[in-house]
Amino acid sequence: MPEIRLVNDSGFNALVTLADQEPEIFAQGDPAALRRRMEQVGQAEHGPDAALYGERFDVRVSLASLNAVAQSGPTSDAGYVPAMRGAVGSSVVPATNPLLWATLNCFELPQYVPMRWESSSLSQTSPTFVYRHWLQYSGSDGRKWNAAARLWWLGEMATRAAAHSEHGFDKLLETMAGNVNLYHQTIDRTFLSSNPQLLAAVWDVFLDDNDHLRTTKYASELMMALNLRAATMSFDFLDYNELRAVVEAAKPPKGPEDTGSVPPPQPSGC
Amino acid sequence: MRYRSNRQYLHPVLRPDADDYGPGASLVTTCEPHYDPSDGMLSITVHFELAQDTLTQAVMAQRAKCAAMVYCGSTLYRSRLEAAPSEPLVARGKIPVSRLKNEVQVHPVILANRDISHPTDQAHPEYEGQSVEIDRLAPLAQDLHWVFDIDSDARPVRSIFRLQEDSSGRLNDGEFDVSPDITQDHVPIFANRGTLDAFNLMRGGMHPMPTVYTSAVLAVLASIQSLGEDASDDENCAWLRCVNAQFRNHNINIGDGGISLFLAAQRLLESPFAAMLTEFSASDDGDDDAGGYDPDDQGAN
Repeated sequence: MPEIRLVNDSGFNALVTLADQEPEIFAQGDPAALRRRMEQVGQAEHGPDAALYGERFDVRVSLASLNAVAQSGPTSDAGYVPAMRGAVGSSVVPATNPLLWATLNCFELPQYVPMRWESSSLSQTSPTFVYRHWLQYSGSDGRKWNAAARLWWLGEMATRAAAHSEHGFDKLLETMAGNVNLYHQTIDRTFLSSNPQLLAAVWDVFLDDNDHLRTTKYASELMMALNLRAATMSFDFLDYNELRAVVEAAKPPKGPEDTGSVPPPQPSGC
Repeated sequence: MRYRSNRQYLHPVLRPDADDYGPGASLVTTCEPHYDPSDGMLSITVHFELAQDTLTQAVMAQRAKCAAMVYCGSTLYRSRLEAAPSEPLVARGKIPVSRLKNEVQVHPVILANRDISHPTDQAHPEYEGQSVEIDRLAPLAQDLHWVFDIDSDARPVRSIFRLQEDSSGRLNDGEFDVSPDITQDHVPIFANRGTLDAFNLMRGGMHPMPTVYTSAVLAVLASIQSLGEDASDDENCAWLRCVNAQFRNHNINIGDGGISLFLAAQRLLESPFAAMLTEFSASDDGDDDAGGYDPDDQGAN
């Protein structure tokens, strides 16, 4: 199994400095050059003997295949999830380490990260873009925008939901990856993303009626309704069937533009 | 602005931050996490001390149940603890520690066990004369949540300090040294064997070693101040996360425009000298011969 050395806090800080001062170097696809610059910056910040690497991490499966696939161009995130889960493993504790994700993005995924976000509205050479996709790992934003962490958490959400869902892992993964309007909102709502049964109920309802909930507007209204319900009762004590009924009840009604029906004429004067 | 819903409960809920019940009504909880390395499980026990007759009767009759929700934000883990009918005021359960990292929250709550008609004769007068219908799993009482950290050895961190023996001979009897290091989970307080034994004797007494802890907290604060902005980057340091959380809890700022380190240390320790004065005053009231605090005694230090 290939073993990598993760950057430590000093190494990470040097990468943050680089993201601010030389963001273009991250997307050049040359991890050796990025490593050299990180070491130069780290030594300038902390002295010539600065230690910039710490913990060792066993990458269970090489990520080279993920880079190779990435060279053929963007596809759904779902296709990359197995490689990331295979490399990092399925245990959640290592996945909470921001230094792991920074190391993977910067030095192990030179082709994948720039390819994944090539259609971003941000310039690939802006510090904000680089920080968001290579380095940031904090809260739900990290799970959504950090390139490597996003893949791992997509797999984790599908795994957790599949334990309770009517659908299997592959179907859920493909659906979550293909419907980011709803996926991002489930990741943002921790009462939902941390409750596998509720997560399964939401995605099962979506799969039953995905045309309706595919839009950001309806996905937002569903999340808002569930959030309000969560404030008055404890979802943690409901089983899957009860939660599914809650989700069905929270589903926003279709508007006339979605059903194709013509709204009834309004009485004059109203 | 559009109001979508009123999130306030429509029925009385016994809470520390609202007066839905009369004076004297309270819910006090204690939370005890314990890690057993042999099975990799974290046992969490939450004890409920409930001083409110209506709610106590509801719990004893199993119309309501004591429970707690365990939440870990880093791993998005969530689990519930429930009281057994044989022990209705204790919620306990085991959680695989492999699912937890960094901060863990435990939210104690008393929930309606089914749809119930809840008497409100002991609630605040604004509910008097009414009986409210409460849905199953609606909260009837809540306590503030408990927070602890999981360190790198998977143990729950309940104190940021760890007493450690220094056998190098550099410390005389009664001396101790504090060495905060953000690569460690705890802040070690070093002392020689004799001093450590004295610490342990004092820990069982009335006064929680204010001299030692105030000094140790001061050393910690000075260390945090020297970190500057890096102090907010506490993802990998358990003791730094705990102190930052306490800063937020006590609304303490030691940065620019903030309060002095000495004042911050006293507030983090909830004013140990004031507590000692109160204790002396109480013992003075109860026993004239107890020899309590005398402000005119110039010899007192």
